[in-house]
Amino acid sequence: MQVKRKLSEIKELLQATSYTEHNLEEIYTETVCGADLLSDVLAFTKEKTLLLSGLIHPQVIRTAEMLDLAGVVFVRGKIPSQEMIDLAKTKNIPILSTAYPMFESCGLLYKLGLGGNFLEEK
Amino acid sequence: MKKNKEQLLIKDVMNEGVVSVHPEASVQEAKDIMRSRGFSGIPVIDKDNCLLGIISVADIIRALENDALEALVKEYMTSRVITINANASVGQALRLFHNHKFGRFPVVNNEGEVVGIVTHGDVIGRLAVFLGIDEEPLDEEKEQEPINKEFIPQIFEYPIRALDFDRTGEGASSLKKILAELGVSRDIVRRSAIAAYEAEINVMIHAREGKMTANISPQEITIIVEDQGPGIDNIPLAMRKGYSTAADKFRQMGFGAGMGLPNIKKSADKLFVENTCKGLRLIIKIMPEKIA
Ligand SMILES: Nc1ncnc2c1ncn2[C@@H]1O[C@H](COP(=O)(O)OP(=O)(O)O)[C@@H](O)[C@H]1O
Ligand SMILES: [Mg+2]
Repeated sequence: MQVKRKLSEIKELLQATSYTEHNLEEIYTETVCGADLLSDVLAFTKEKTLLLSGLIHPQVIRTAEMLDLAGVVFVRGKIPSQEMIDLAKTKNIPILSTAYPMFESCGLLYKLGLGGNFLEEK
Repeated sequence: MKKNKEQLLIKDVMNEGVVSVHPEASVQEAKDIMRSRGFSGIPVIDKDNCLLGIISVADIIRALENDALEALVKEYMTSRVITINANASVGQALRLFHNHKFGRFPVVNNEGEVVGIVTHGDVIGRLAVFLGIDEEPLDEEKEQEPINKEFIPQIFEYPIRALDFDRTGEGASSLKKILAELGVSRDIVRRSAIAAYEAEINVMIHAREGKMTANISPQEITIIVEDQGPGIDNIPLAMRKGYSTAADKFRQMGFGAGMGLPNIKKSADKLFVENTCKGLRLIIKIMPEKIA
């Protein structure tokens, strides 16, 4: 059984910074996806998933928007530009940034009990 | 689709049998056609039935001022043409006339072929007949026609601009919002958004400039993405997972894995991929009521 976690808990665990005004106490996720290939994310990711990515450009946010993802965490200390922050606010996508690299970020969240997600291909 | 018989569509009011002019004709020829037929603008259509532009009195005047009646129509026509779908409602046409100063719009079918032309006068005239207001004053005793409160087919158009990579996805985003507002189910909204987004990304990566059009009805969402690009030589090959000709800079952005077209196919109920005279056209159909 997978657990649900608040984005606020995840933010604390990853010592992350939040860039939008979302109330992270009220947003939950039970699955996480770590990816730098947006094509993969678009093909296989369930809604309400939290995306961890080392990519940093506006299309990451648009991908999250199309898929109704719970939010995006930029790893390895990548800081979103003002333009990306504005886009994330407009599209209602929480975005965070953590100093941990991808592997460590995923490991910490996995230990927290969060699962991955893999939509079976039709 | 159970079409409400009270709804007046463009195909009911348009003028069929379009008088058009070839792009290689001279401005003089266009002027003669317009004078003999009494038109103030005619569509410019090539031999493949592709709409290239419209030439109007204003364009002819420009040519006259330059003493260039021998010039080619394609040099003087207005090439940014706004079209309307034959299945759009007259209400949508009125909005178009209101928002743009053009007096006429070419009418296209779902394949993008010109099937007629509609002027502001046609719409108003037919609307008056339809509503009965050209015959008799409205009588309070008379039963009011019920207004169609049903889900009205919606048409939506979005340009995909050259080299505007940060804005790519706005078309899919707007479509997603409209579908959600219309109360379309989450799964259908998501599938439509993914398909539209992948198609938009492809225009950006492989063709640069294009247009997204969506026809939305309760039974069927048709998303048409057309571009002015190189088209695809071998479509079955391009449909294969992993086949990609994307440039490195797009791969570094997380695209170009050769999964876009397969993902569009997976998200859609029907997908047609075809080359046009200008580039590529995708027709994506998603049927909300189809039981998976
Ligand atoms: N709009 C288009 N215009 C021209 N070629 C295209 C277009 N869309 C797709 N293609 C061709 O089809 C291939 C496969 O497309 P797709 O499956 O989306 O993968 P990708 O975009 O990742 O390369 C592309 O690499 C390109 O060669
Ligand atoms: Mg693609």
